[in-house]
Amino acid sequence: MCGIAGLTASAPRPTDRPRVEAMLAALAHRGPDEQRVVQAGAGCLGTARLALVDRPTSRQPMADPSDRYALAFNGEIYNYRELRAELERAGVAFRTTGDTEVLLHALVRWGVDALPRLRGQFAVAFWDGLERTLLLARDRFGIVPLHWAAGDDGVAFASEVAALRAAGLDTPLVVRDVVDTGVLWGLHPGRSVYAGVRSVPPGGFVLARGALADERSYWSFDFAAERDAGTLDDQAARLVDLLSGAVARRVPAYGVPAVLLSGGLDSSAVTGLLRREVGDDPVDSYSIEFASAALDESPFQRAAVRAFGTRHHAVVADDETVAAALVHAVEHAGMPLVRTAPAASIGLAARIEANGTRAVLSGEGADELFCGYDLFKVAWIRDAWSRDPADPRWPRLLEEALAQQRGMGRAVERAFYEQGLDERSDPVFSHQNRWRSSARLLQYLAPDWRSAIQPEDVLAGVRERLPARYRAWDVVEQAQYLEVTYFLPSALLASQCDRPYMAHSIEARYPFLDEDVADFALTLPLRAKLAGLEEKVVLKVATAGVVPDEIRGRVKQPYTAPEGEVFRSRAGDALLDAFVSPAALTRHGLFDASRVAWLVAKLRRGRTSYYDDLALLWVLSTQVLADACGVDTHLEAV
Amino acid sequence: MKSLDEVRADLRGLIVGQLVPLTDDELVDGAPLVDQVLDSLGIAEVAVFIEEEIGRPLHETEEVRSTFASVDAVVSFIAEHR
Repeated sequence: MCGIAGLTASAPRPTDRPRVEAMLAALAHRGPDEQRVVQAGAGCLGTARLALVDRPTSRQPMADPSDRYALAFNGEIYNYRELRAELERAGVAFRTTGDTEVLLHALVRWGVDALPRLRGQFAVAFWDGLERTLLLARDRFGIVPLHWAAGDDGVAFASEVAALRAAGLDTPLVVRDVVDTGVLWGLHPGRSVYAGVRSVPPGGFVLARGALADERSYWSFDFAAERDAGTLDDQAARLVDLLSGAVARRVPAYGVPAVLLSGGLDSSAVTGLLRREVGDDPVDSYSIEFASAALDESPFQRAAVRAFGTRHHAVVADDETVAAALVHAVEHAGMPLVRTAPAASIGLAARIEANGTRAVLSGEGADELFCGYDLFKVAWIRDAWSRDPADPRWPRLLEEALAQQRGMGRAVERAFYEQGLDERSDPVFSHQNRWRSSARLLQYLAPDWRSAIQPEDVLAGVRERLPARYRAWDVVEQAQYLEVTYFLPSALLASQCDRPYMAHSIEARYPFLDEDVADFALTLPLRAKLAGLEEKVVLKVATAGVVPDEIRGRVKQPYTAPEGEVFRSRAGDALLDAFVSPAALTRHGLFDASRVAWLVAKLRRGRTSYYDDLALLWVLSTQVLADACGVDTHLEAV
Repeated sequence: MKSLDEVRADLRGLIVGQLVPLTDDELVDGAPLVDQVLDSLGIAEVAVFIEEEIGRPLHETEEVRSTFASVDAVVSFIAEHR
């Protein structure tokens, strides 16, 4: 993984090289091995490189032999050997043994048709100096970031928005998008929270000539029209085969293979398959242990370590350490946070870096593809309940499904999830409770903003972007689409994974998001993913013999760092004073100082709700970002 | 026994004092509490308030959205069951 950045124009500009050098300096954490700038006609491309594959010869940005094309590439192409063989058969001669040159020639020869053929995680900037066109593209799920902005004469692009600011772009926060991050726990594909800055959508690409850019998709999340009709055992056998291949492809060429081990099914499955892949070779495992017993999963982490014989490393995260890392995590995330987990991640990333590890395998993506979250169970129950509101079985089943959660009483479960039950035709039915509850954070905006942005407008923004095929899916699969579109790329892959780990030059790799695994998951019938209250059915069967039964059979625990408690720590209290005190809030005028003061007082009094904590974190992290880049204060921007 | 006006005042005090960042003027008695005002913890707090006022736990069939629909609905429920 690396950082990439660049500027294009209609003609070469002498100022571009120093500007791209400044952009790379802002991305140095992503690529400590080499920062290099290439001026290719009117395109100036740069890479900050973290060398993981073919370290000696694949210098970037890379030009083709004719010097017409130049490539800046961030990530890994796992099927580059197969693509290389095909290109060689077509007469292409290679100078290196790595994936960068294969990608370069694939794009030269096949153009954008190369994109759906790639297997991996990547962000690509491909410049054609003759046609003066720039292609920007990202992997299917948006693992690797890529932002861009159109200027008067060309395009600026970079892995992180901080690099665009280093090039001189003014990027104030856009309140509408800031609100989306809080309510939806993610952004609409292609959006960023910064004025004038877009994100290349997951599975998408941008073709730019001058300042004109055309944004398209080469892949979309879509369930197969015909589902796998095999037995569950056959499906499980196929899954473990595909997952084994996905793990094998992600074993780094250099160094000791390593894995992020939460103690849950997904990371344990990855660790178990990694152990099978490397035999008796050493494997490093890394975990976060939470000081709070309610959040801690270390007994299961230790069980996995015993079973797989890993060299284990753990950091302990408590309220103080999470609070102390929070501003750093927000600055790297570059978007408001709705959970503190990124601050815990950044502490673990520092530990991993100190151990000399550069790539870690992660179990992220399994919950979205195989229905691991309680949200999917709730969607299924509410769907049935909505068709027969008088049937008492459904609220009882809901109570059972949520029994593990936060000690909520029956009144909460029933009355809370009864909201919207009469709106089954709403396409975002599965997410109504979460999003409408999160939308209560709008009440902390200053009055003018509160009047300008209504909760239902935020949900309408989702509805109007849904693909036509969405209506044909089951409510649970609709929920999968919404999770993959909003939560996964923003709150999880970006804020909780890529940014905190790359802050310490660590590349995370995701076997569950492998193209073959994901394609297979999209063929599975719902019953193979969710059967009543049992989640990830096929994965549990597939990992028999791979993952210890005590982990495979455990009740799923949502991975959660301490939330409101963080702000009751000494470091957290200092954060409240620095960023959400009445004086601090006047800096940007974005929030209602009296209402935020009420929330802080409630926190200091004692008990706050999940959504209180979410709102406070969102307000505070927005303030951190606003301090760095300001706020677009034009109400008409909403 | 409290008058219903006192119950209403106490309920409003609970909501604006501890549950949501509204002023007394901003809390409308007919506003949808569950759908627009309270979050999940807020509903639980109101459930406890009701149970204290009626002197018994809520039955399963009473733990429904309509019980918590609005300030007016909560006060009516208490009036009917205390």
